[in-house]
Amino acid sequence: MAAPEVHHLFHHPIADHSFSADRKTLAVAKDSALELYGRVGSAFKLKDELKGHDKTITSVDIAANSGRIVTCSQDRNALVWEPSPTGYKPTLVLLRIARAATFVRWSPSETKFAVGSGDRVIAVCYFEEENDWWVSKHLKKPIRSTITTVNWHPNSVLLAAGSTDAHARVFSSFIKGVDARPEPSVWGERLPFNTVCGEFLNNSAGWVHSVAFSPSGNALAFAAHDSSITVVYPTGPEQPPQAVISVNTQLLPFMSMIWNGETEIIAAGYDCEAFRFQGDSSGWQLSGTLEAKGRPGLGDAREESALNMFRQMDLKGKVKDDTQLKTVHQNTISTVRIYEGNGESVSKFSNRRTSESALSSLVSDDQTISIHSGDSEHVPRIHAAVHTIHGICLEATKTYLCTHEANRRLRASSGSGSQHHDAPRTPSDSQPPFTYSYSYNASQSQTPSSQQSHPSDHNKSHRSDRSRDKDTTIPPATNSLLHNVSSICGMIWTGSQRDRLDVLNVERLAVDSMARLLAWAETVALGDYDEWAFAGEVLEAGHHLCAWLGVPDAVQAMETLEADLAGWGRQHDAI
Amino acid sequence: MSIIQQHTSASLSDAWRTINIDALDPDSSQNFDTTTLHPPLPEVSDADVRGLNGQVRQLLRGGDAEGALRGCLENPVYSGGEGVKDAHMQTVVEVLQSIKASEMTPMLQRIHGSEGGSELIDVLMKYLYKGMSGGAANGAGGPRTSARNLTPQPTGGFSQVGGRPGATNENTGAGMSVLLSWHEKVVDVAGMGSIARCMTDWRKV
Repeated sequence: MAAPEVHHLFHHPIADHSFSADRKTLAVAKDSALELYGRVGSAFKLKDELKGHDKTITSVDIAANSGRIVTCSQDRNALVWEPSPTGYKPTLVLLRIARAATFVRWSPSETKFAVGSGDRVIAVCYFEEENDWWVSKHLKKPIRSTITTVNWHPNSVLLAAGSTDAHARVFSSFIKGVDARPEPSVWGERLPFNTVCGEFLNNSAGWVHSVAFSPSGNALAFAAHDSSITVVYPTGPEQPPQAVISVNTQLLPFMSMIWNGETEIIAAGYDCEAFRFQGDSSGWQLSGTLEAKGRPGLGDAREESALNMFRQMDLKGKVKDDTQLKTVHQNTISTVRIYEGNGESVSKFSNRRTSESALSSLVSDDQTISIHSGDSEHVPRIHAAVHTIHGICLEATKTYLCTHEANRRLRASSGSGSQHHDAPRTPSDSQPPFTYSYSYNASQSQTPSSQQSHPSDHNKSHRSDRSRDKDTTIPPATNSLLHNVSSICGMIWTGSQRDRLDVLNVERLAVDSMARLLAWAETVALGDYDEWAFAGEVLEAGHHLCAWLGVPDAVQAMETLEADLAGWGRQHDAI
Repeated sequence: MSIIQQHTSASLSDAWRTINIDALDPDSSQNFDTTTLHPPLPEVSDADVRGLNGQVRQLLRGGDAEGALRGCLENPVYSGGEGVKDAHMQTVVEVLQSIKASEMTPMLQRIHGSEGGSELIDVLMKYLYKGMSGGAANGAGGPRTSARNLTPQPTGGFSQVGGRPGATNENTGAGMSVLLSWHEKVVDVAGMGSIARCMTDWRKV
């Protein structure tokens, strides 16, 4: 889970927001105006303001393909904003409702949209070519109260709606001439307009805040004011559903939710952060929050001087400043939307929050939108990558140790006078470590002249040391990366001790490379990240480690892995 | 520059707000029995509650406080006369008062962790709020309605120091403190969600 992108737009509650398909434009409902923000670099800048409503805009939706924007407002109207070269042109839609419009969403086909209202109706609106006008048909029965939310089935005919009469319902909004006849599904076969395909109520029957069809459309989830989510798996028309699963949480109620694949739901609301639910038709459960870590600086209490502590006690009656939540959003999240996805899985989503005006003067960043990048296949993949890096590095250290062992044995048997090469390599020494009889002689000729010109008495004294401890200085390769690296460090140190009178700065260089090696090894061995930014560090450390060890197979394996991950990582870091 | 200018004059004045359009609409919730939206609940009679009370007392005497608590939470009185509801409330308070403070949290965690346990905790929360609303917060011995009779005090019933005559006052305070400490423990175990459900639920105890 990468850190969310946070954009603070203005000091005012946000009722609803919508991104265009290319994610370059963001529409935000602010009071009675609709503000359009364009992405400039990493920020969103105000581009346009669409004014046309007299009262607060309650909901906004941008059609993915046509780019049309629909807004609805407490002034009981909906407007369709048609993009044109000279700006957006509004068209009024006849809703025929006597109360505020509360919620609007385009159907996936973009030929219709549904407007929920406080008038106990859902207006399904479509464009009538003959009259060149948007008209609406009402879904009325058996709604008993305000519609708070609607959600379209992928087939653009079925419509789920949540209401303050505590029911989540599924209707058919089939309109002749606009819709193609839908395929029969678990929700029904013949679906004339206003067919009620399902009506669901959970035990405590709180207001329904959010409804959502699963990506396949074969399951329906709804979140109610009793802090629960309920998932319904229907069997077929006129039959009781095969499973109705309610999850009562310990949290405050959820305002909005989205499906991430068929087995995960992301919901957010009065707790100011998003939570993840996982399950299937056999059961669902809350699996945790999306904000893994608190924001830096907010969670950890700063160390305070005693004077400061007493001053705080005196001024505020408490030591800690607890006016800020540890979550990214500082107030209720009103909408969660899919930001990036392919219908099957969601890779990023966005949410919005509302805020009390009283709070706005206190809190500097007030209205934020956070874009969370998500995860379902993301995290296991990073884990796999880190695991592979670790494997490559471990093999490389084993090869390094074994080769040195072999070299030493070889030298001992050949009794060669030149023994510099069994010394562990220092960074200045760039030859590959596994040099068997033949290549060993070849590398001998590349030996730096400084080492060749050792006074012979030094050479002799060292030789005697080494022949004494030659079997103990190279520990056997183990299956632990950290163990192996510490053995290598030991070798470096022994080597530096031997050469300290011959080579300038050898001890300092040895300590340097030991520190670097250990840092890389720790990063690789302890790297257990689910964020791409950190996994990148592991990759880099692994790369350095293999390059230093100079094991060609490992270097090559790292390069292949790097090339493999580069494209994928960039794609995930792009936004 | 509004295209719905014709609405503006009407919506700017507040006159339209004074008309109760719900009263004129036959389909509105005012003219509609909202209880029909929910499945009906079984009616609980006085005899049922007394029978349950007897069983719960027996469990308490046997030392099975958790069984007693479960027993009265599994059979909440949602539908029935005020008297029946109050009688059951009385049973719940009796059980709560007989459980030691140190046993509260472990017991709640066991109940919450069991199958359907979160539902039971929600029921308990409803009884706590009903108790704290002054319905029957007084101790087991006192008359059922005494707390209600005491509340119309100038202090609004919140202050427990002075202003109230007699020993029943202390009794109310003690009952209240039991409920408050239970409330704290229940919130620890079942979270804010439990309070949200208590306020939301249409099945009132």
